[in-house]
Amino acid sequence: MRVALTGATGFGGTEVLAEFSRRAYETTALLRAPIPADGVAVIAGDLSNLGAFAGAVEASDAVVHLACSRSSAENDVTADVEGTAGLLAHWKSGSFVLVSSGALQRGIESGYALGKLAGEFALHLAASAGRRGPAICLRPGIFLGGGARRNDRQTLGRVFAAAREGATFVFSSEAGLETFGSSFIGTADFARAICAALTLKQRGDFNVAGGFCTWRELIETVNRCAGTQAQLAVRPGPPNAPGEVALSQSRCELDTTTFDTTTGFVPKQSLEMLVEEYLRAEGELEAKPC
Amino acid sequence: MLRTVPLGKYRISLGALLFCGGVTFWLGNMLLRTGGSGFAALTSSLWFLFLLVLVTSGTRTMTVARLAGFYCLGGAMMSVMYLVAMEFVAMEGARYIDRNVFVPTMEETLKLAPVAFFLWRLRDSRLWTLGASDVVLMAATSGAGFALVEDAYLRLNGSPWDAPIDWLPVASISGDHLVAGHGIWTGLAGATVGLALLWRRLGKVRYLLAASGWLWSVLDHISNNYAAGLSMRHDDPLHDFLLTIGGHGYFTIYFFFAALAVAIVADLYVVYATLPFGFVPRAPLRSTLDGLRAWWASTLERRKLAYLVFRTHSVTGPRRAGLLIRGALLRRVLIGAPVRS
Repeated sequence: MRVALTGATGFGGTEVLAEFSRRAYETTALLRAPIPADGVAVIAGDLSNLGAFAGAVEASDAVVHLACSRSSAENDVTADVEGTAGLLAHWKSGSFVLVSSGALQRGIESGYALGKLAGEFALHLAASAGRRGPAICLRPGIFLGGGARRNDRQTLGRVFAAAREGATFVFSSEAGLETFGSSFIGTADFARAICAALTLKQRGDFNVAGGFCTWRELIETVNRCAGTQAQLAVRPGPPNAPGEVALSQSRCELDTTTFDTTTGFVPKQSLEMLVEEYLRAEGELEAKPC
Repeated sequence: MLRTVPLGKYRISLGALLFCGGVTFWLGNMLLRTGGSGFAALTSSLWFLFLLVLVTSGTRTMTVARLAGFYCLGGAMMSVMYLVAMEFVAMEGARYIDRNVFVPTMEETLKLAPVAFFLWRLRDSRLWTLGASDVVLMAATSGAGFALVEDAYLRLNGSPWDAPIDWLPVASISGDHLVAGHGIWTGLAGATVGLALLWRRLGKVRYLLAASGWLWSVLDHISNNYAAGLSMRHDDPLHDFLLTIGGHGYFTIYFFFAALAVAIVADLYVVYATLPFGFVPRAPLRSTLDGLRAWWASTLERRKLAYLVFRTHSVTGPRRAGLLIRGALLRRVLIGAPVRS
């Protein structure tokens, strides 16, 4: 299978690229800074300047679009959306898998989510114009794991950094302490989910996750595995004292039934496995599992 | 700060209350001073607009409340025109020909000014969700409001009144030509602007298309004013020329109805053929008043999305991205998903 891939150096993209290589897909990756990768054709460029990648998209059997600037500024959102629209203009046939965000379930909280939402919109419009392949929007939970970019604006990186400092995680209510959290997915599971998505014949928006954890479970797992002493506190209002931090005061539990039953996808990475993977990458975990 | 006031079981915004009060005072004062003829002018004006609203009910996104605002703005523009015309006519050396070029040109411009301002002010947002028939409606309404104030002024000054056409009472016959009237002149100008805004693929030709309605209306208006002043003379070559090329005023009526039909057909195509099947659900039609209101509001939003999606195909770069973001948010509202967490 010939696959055109964007975002191959991102947190999830690295693992996706590796999974494609394992499956002997003919992958052409668009990268801002080309890296040597076996069996992968690399084209230098970015979404605003597709160059030769446009031809790769046209010739491919599938397009997997992971790239996003994780922007918060409106101008960057515009660039993200225009990049996706530019990519779609060259999509001729085969599946187009757009990796969106599970956070859209809660609402549009950031420029990142807005960009993803507009990307989905552009994809569904493009899919309806002409006979192309299935347009698939994957909405994953938060990424957990030990990849190279594990500390690049990732939830687990933030939690671990705060826990190591002995921070207090503030929750707005007792109910929030017990229920707030998010669906999550490990990068290896995510890579397999992408491959599963490429087998879909019908267009649609699909939630994908490896499981759900409350923030309390995540913090306590980090404490247990890393030996940190992060505290939990319940009081209304945002954190306002030194050493206090807060995670998103909401619950984002994705219903992944449709994707799982349609593709037969079964996640393999549990919360503890992913925290261990992270801590191992950080050099904070001894050989013994937590 | 007080923003709404109670009215029975509802609350009405202070702005809406002031608007209604102002309109009541304006129309009440006018009717008191002009009597039956003023009432006839008002009813013919509203009948014309009612028919326009009716024929565009399958395509418009503009609410009647918004159109009421344009009606008043059109009327206000007549006051501006009155001041301008008084100044100009009083100028020394203003010749007959100058007056009959200047006044119609100013009138056609001022009537369209509220619409142009609206479109300019919302150039990055609402402009992209408008249909061509919306612009026709806005313009014709502004023109009708202008005409009402002019009619009242003419009646108060004892000017002779042309015989309105039975089937189109906003137009009238004056001597050997037909006077299309302000509602139709401005409606024609709005129709070509609306079509040009919709058909962005026409490239630079669309600027010509946009201007053509206004240009024709100015020409016909000049022809009408010039001919009206020379109604007793038929040996003026310019008079004959203007009446001939304008088909004695009838061409304007034909052009208006043709442009209106094209606008409606183009809008119908966009509204019913642009959105992919199942892209946004149709709101269920319920027989309760609140149910009907919700269905209508949802229908208008759906149309806005269709117009916006249609325009995404003819723009590129950051503008396309902006439209996609706007469309994504609009669709999210329509499918009932949370926009703000």
